[in-house]
Amino acid sequence: MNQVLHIFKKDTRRFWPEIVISQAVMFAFALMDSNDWKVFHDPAMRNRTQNFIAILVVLMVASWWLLIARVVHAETLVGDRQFWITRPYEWPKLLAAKLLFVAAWFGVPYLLAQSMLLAEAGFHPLAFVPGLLYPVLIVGMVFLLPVFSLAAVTSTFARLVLTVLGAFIVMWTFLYWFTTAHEYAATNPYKNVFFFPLLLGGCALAIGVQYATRRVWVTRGLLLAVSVLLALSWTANGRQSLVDKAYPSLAPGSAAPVSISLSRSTTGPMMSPTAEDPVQTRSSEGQDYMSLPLKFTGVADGYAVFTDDLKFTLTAGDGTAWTSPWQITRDRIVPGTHQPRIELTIPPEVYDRFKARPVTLGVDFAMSRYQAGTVARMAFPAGDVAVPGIGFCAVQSWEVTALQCRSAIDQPPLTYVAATWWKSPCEEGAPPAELVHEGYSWLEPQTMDFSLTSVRTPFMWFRSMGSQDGPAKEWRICPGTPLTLTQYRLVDRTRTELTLPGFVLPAKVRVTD
Amino acid sequence: MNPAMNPMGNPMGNPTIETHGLAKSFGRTKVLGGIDLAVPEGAIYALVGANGAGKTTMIKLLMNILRATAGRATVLGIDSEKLAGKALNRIGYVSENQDLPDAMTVGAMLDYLRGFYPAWDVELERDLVRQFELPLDRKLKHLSRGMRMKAAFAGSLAYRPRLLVLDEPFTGLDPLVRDELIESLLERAPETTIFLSSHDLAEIESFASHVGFLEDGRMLFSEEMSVLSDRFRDVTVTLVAPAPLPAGLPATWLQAETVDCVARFVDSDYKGEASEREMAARFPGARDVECEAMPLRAIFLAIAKSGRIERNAKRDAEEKAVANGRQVA
Repeated sequence: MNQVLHIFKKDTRRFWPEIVISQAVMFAFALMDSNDWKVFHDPAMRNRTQNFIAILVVLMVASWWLLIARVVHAETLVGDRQFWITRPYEWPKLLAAKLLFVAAWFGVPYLLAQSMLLAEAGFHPLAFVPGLLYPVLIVGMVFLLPVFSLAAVTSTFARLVLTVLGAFIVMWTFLYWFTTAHEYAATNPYKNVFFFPLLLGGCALAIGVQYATRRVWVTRGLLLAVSVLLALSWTANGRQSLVDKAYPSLAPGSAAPVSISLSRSTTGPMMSPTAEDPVQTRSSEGQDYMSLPLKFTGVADGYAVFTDDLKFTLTAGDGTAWTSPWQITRDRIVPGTHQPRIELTIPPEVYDRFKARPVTLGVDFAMSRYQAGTVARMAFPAGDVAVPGIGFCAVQSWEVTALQCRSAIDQPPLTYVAATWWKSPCEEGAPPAELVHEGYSWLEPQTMDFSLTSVRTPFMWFRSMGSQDGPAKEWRICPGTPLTLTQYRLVDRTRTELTLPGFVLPAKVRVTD
Repeated sequence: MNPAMNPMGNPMGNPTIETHGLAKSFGRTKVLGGIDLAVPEGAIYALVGANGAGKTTMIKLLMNILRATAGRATVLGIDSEKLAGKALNRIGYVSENQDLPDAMTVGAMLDYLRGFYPAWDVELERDLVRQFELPLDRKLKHLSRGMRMKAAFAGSLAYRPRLLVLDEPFTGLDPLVRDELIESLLERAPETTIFLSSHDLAEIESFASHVGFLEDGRMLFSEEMSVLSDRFRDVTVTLVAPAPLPAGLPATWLQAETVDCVARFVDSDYKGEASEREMAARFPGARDVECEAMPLRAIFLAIAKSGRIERNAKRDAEEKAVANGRQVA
């Protein structure tokens, strides 16, 4: 342990300027981030704040990387001329000293900064101690461990920067290839369970091997192998077949979670596109798009159904057929009638092959069914109030159709918020003059559950029930209006089909860009 | 028989460094080929050879800085590939090529190193700082080359290592600094085995007890200086009349040549009267035979030149054989 502290003290004495810079940037970030929700009523100010936060995030991460590079390179593991390799350093203690340095000058200050953020947001930090450790660990492992491992196989900061840049270019090229190779990106129904263990395990193993053996080419090979495995796991997790697996077809005799039909206004032969024809088409970036108005009904009380992906099959009279890959579609359906539009993406050559003649259009929807759970009721706030299951929310005064909320550590669960639109102006102490429409908002956790801060700022933007469009300009949700917040949990995933025989694709695709 | 003594009059014991068939290649380039070596305890062993002979590679293998391609080495009884951590408490290493912690002052470096060595002698550290006139408050990067080497020496002597490994420690130093460092080494010699490499024969001749000569990755010889000096003689034979060299001279007679009535060669296996009798037998009409002891430099030149002559002859023979083969084809 003495050797660990001895090296730690030497590093701290040597790198105090880097430490001071890193701490300053980190606390500036915490300070600015807490301003984010304080200035949300001033859009211009908030915009400036968010820009500044973005700059500080970049500087903060760069300062961590600088700190790690400097401390690892102080006893560089590459080469055969280093002063320390002929001294009685014990590698586990050297590694422990470096990790202690990272914990002391990244972990602890970051934990304090996050606690400060929580306190500023109105949460008691001590009530979230395990939760506070989580972002520290995650940020440490995702942002710092890979750089630590790269620093262990490079000899200078300049070489590390070049390596990181190279890694970014390779990663960007891979992601570009991946997205272009998968033009019809589908929802990833499964979490990539291999990605983080591979990333963290691979980096940790590489660091251990390098400190224990200093066989730099072995470690570099290991890191390369880990990168290839990460790319493979990413590719494997993007397979379309996973959607088939995650969303099984309905068992015979079981009821579909929702009934789907063409919207009433579109019934008819649909043999030719006219100005009134509800089937709209457009063309963009080498793809044709066809939009259909649909009607979703029959969702059972206490449930909600989300469409996640769709795929469709065009079958001509001569038996020729084409099936699309899974494509993302997003509709959230609660009991009642919903008439959204869905858009189908079709390659132009396929469109031309099937257009202007009757075909059978079969659309297969991958759907998630959610069940309502905890219900909370409250009045639409005039100021900053505690909201059950979320944290704190306040009216966004520049757009009183929305609530800006703050949650501690985690994203709030999937929540449906029902409200009522009124015609403005809202008069203080008096009920609004005229009821307009039922309104709602979905508070959805983001798929990428990762944040640099302990305070999440979910946003509730209210819509008008039964409409794809937003509310009219003059509509308001006035303070005091009852709000109902219903939390939902995932029950199952399944597929539901819509078959449209005698469907005619409009003969011409309207070019929009 | 009395055990061998080091220059300070101390007995030399078991090998501090021992290698068996130690070899190193970088890709297809063979840098060291099967070195066998034994450095007795208490010796001041000088590994000499021209630039590129493989001295630094040899030292890096011994210090576990590089890994051997074949063979093995033990240092203070420890397999060199396991030489790490606490095992280095007893070994000092100074190299002209070593990167020092330049951002530290001399004082900070010595403070830092002190924490690693249980046997660190603060008094000795003070003596060394005084002896070398080290400026404790100056950063290493701001020191001259000589001062940096002195600082490195101080950091490697203050814990009284049992073995001191020095890779070209005096290269590029002015004579004054070199003498200071050699003096400090000799002061430590009673308690420390010293293994150093050099390409400057003159600088090691005065104090080395053992010497090994490395050429193109091969150890031409490795023995005590006194034995080496006894073994080599510069022989001048004065003949009655000019005569060619007799045929079938012993292979241990190097660089044999005649000029008029004088035949000269280097006897690399001189055994006193026995050798002189053989010389008389080979040169029956000799008027006089003089066998003079040789300085180290002359011994190395004789070995190096005869080695090159042998190799050139071998290469010529091979080329000739290849050419003949082509003609036949």
